[in-house]
This record gives sequence, structure tokens and C-alpha cells, in this order.
Amino acid sequence: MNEKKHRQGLLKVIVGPLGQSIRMGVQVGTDGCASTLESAESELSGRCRGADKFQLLFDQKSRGFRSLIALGVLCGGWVMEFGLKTSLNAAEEKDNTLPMLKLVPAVQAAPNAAVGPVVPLNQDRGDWFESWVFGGLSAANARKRLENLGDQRLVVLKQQCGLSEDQIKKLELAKRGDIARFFRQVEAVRQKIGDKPPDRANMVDLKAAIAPLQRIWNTGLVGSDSLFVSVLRTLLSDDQKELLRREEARRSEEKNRFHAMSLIKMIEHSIPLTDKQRTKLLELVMEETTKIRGDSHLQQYVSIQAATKLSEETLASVLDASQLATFRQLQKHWETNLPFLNQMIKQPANEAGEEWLNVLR
Amino acid sequence: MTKLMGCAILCGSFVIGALDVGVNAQQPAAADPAKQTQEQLAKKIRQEMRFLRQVVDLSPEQDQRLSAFDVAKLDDIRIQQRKVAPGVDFLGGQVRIPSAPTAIDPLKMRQIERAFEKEVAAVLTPKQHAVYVKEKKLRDEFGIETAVRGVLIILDRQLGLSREQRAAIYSSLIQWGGITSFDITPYESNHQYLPPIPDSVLVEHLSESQRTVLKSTARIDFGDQMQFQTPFNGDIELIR
Repeated sequence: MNEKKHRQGLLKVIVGPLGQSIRMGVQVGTDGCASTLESAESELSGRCRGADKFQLLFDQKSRGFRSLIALGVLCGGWVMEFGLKTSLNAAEEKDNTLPMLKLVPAVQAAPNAAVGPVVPLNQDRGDWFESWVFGGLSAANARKRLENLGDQRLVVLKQQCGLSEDQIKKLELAKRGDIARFFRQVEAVRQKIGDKPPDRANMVDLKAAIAPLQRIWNTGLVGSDSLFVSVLRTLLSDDQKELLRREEARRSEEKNRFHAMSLIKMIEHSIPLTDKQRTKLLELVMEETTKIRGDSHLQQYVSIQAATKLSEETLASVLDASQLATFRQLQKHWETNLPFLNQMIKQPANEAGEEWLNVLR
Repeated sequence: MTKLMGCAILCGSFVIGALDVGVNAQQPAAADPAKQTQEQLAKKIRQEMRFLRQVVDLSPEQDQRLSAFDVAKLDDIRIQQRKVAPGVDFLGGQVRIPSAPTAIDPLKMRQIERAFEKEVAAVLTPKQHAVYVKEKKLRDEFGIETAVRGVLIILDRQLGLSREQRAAIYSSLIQWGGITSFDITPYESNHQYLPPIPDSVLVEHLSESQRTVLKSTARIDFGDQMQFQTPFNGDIELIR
């Protein structure tokens, strides 16, 4: 029985790669992996690149000769693949953790990075659990960062609405309370999942357990259940609220303008505009945007809804006939998604930490 | 006996492999990535042609000549370029997510734009060309202003900038010139990241406490790797 299983296993190992190798060999002889070596270099895997080079070298030769090459590649492919499989199996036996992402230490990767100023956090990253929850930071560094963020919020509030010492003390306490509560939650999850590192079997459960912590972390601890936000709501005087309200209005106006400008840029993919038209259209969208109330993180949808509402008469003062026809098509395209749009705009403030800026809503 | 069995297995596998090839041959060939990129580039040029027609009154001859601009014929700019995916900080390390086959290489695009500009300069009258250049400059400035405003919104949210700081950083970002487009979505939904702006552009305008926050914040370029697609941000190409 065991011998039979062994034979079946051997057959599987030999036949699989051979099938692939033959396929590849025939491709070498007839089509090649890609049209040119230039494109193949950047797009295809190492083995296909090799095959493509064969195609280039022997393009003018006879089909019989190509078949010989195909046979050579076939055998080579089989040997390489067999060796690779053996070594992969050995590695898998040794380490059962999921090879989902091969993480390269930031310091090592940075010199070759195409985007220049990616700033690696050259800090203690903690164990895998801390790294997951705190986006690559250790628990100690995460705590420090949250304290820094909280301190900065207090500095800003003090500047914007002149907090008293007593108010600052209370907010300071609330800030520390948020941090302490978060780390208690983190510890509870850690206790629950134990020390076992992620592997194929427990990956889904781990992700589900850690996701709520990641969401809280992403908000910077000023989400909907933040003590800091609750205390701030009850603590401010009417004058202070008014000052904060002005600040919120300024932020909202800037966001509206940004999203309206982004929308114009998107429209320009389909309708090229002169500078005069661009300026005028932006004004129209901004004007319509002020009539729609939406949550601050959804202002991009508000701008689109505003553009959908622009009437043909209004647009005719800015666009020529051909542009107008295209704009109508765009409006129709957006209108088909209106239910989704309305649903998005009606959503309550998100969990992404906008609340402390929208504390007066 | 073992050798015989080995031979039999080898021959069998040839047959199975050959059958496999037969089946494979009937499947439609995968789209050529080089061709897809070429189509994307051609689309960009068509877009620029529409802009040109909007800002300048082209004669039929001029239109015909410029419409014949073919990216496929520009052998000098079809250079070999290995796509190096940008490093992205993730889970405490850096991952490299390879770009999609259809993603346009910015350098290649820039070269094609230059070739097109050269062609435009040769075809348009000096007066027409001056109008085109002026409008193009204004369009590009509008794009940069949009992107910089987006970056400033995120910086303001994280660091709480004063009016003076916002004005100073706005000028600094424009002068730096490193931002031409910006997708705000990934940063809006996460308080732990900032766009990759170098210290030299920001630090001199910040207070001590703001610098401390900046220092502890990961600066990441989500680039086009994490474009958040919505039913609204796809462009419709309508050729006039």
C-alpha cells in the first residue's frame, strides 16, 4: 500500500512539471513567451525570460532544430522544477508560517526604493502581534506615538480656543484614559490568541481578532467611543465652541475645494477645458456643494453629487455644445450610481478619527 | 525493472504533457502587456489632442498631421525599462508590490509627451503654439495646486497647522515640486500615515511638538498601487 502511494507520488511529481515543461518547450519552438525580449524582461518570470531568449536566438532556424531546443528546455525545466519543489517542501516542513509577504527590513530596502522619501521607522518593531496591531511599531513606541498625538491635539485646541488649565488637566486625563483602555484591549486580545504565530490554520481567526484593534489604532484613539472627544464635548464654553466651529468650517471649506478641484481634474479626462472654463466650472461645483450637507470624509461624493445637479442652462454658460453633450453623458454615468452615492453621504461620521474635528455636530 | 518503469513513466508523461499542450493551444492567448501599455499611451495622446483642439483652432491639415502621431513608431523612446515597484512600509517592513502591466511608466510617458510637444511645435503657428503652451501651463499648475491642497489637508489634520504655517508649507511644497498628483483616500482613513514629504520641506515651518509628531509618523507613498476605485473615478473616453 505504502509502495503504491509512493509510486503515485512519484508519478505526480514527474508528470506535473513535465507537462508544464513540454508546454513551455513547444512555446519556445513556435510562439515564444512574449512578443519581444524587451517586454518580456520586465513582465515575465525568470524561466520565461530564458525561453524568450531562445526564441530570439533561434528565430531563423528550422522547426526541427526548434524541437531539439524544446526537448532541451523540457528536460532542464523538469530538473529545475523537481529541485525547486524538493527544496520548497523541505522549507515548508521547517517553517509552517505563511509566506504571504516577504518582509524586507526597511533599512535594507530603502536604497533601492523608487519613491525617494519613504521614511522607514528604524525603531523596535516588537513581535509579530505588536507589529500587526500598531502598523510596524512595538507596543512601547506605539504608546509613545499616541501620547505625542494627544499632546499635539491639546496644543492645537489651546491655540484655537484658549483652553484653561483646568480644562487641559481634564483632557489630559481623558487622553491617558483612552490610551490605557486601548492597551488593556490589546492585552486582552493577546491573552486570547496566545503566543502561537500566524500560520495557515489560524490566519483567519487572528485577522478577525486583531482587526478591531487596528481600526482603533488607525483612528489615533479619537474614534466614536473616545473619552477625549466625550470630555471635550461637555467641557467647552459657548465662546470656545464658536471658535472651534469656525475652525471646522475652515477645514470643511478647504476639503470641499480640494474635492471639487479633484473632480474637475477627473472631468478633464473626458472634457478638455480652457483655464477660463476650468475656473468657472469650479465655481459652479463649489456653489452647488455648499447646498449639500455631508460628512467630512465623504466630501468627494458631495462634489460629484453637486456636479450631477448642475443644470444644462447653467452649464451652457461655460461649455460649448460638444462639451455639454459629453458632460451630460458623465452626469448620466454618475446618476446611475446615485443610490450608492446617497447611501455614502448619509453614513454617520466614520471611524477614522474625524470626530474630534467634528465635535460640535 | 526500475529503469523500465522510469522509462514508462517518462513516456507516459510525454503523452500527458502533449495532450495538455493541445488543450492549452485552444485557449485564447493572454493580452500582450507591451501592447496594453502602448494602448494606454495612445489614449493619453488622444486626450492631449482633445485638449489641443479645445484651446487652439486647428486647421484640418494640422489636425490630420497631429492625429497621425503614433506612439508605436517612436522607437527611440521605446527603451528598455525594468519596472521597479516602489517600496511600501507595511507591517513593520517594506514590501514591493509590482505595478500592473498596463501601468504607464512615468519616465516613458514623459518622453512621449516631449516627442508630442516637439511635433506640436512643428505643426502649429507661433501664435497658436504660444496659446497652447500657456493653457497647458495653467492646466498643469491647477493639477499641482489640487495635489498640494490635498497634502496640506492631511498635514493639517495630523499636525494642527496655523494659518501662517499652512501658507508657508503650501509655498514650500509648490517650490519643492515633488507632488503632481495626490490620492487623499488612504490617508483620510488612517491617522497613522503621512504622504512622503521630505523633512527639508516641512521641518523649518513646524513647532517642536509638531516635529515630534512628524518624527513618529510613517511617511508612505501609496502611489497608484492602492488607488481606491469607486464607481465615479473611472474616466469615460469620448472622442470628438
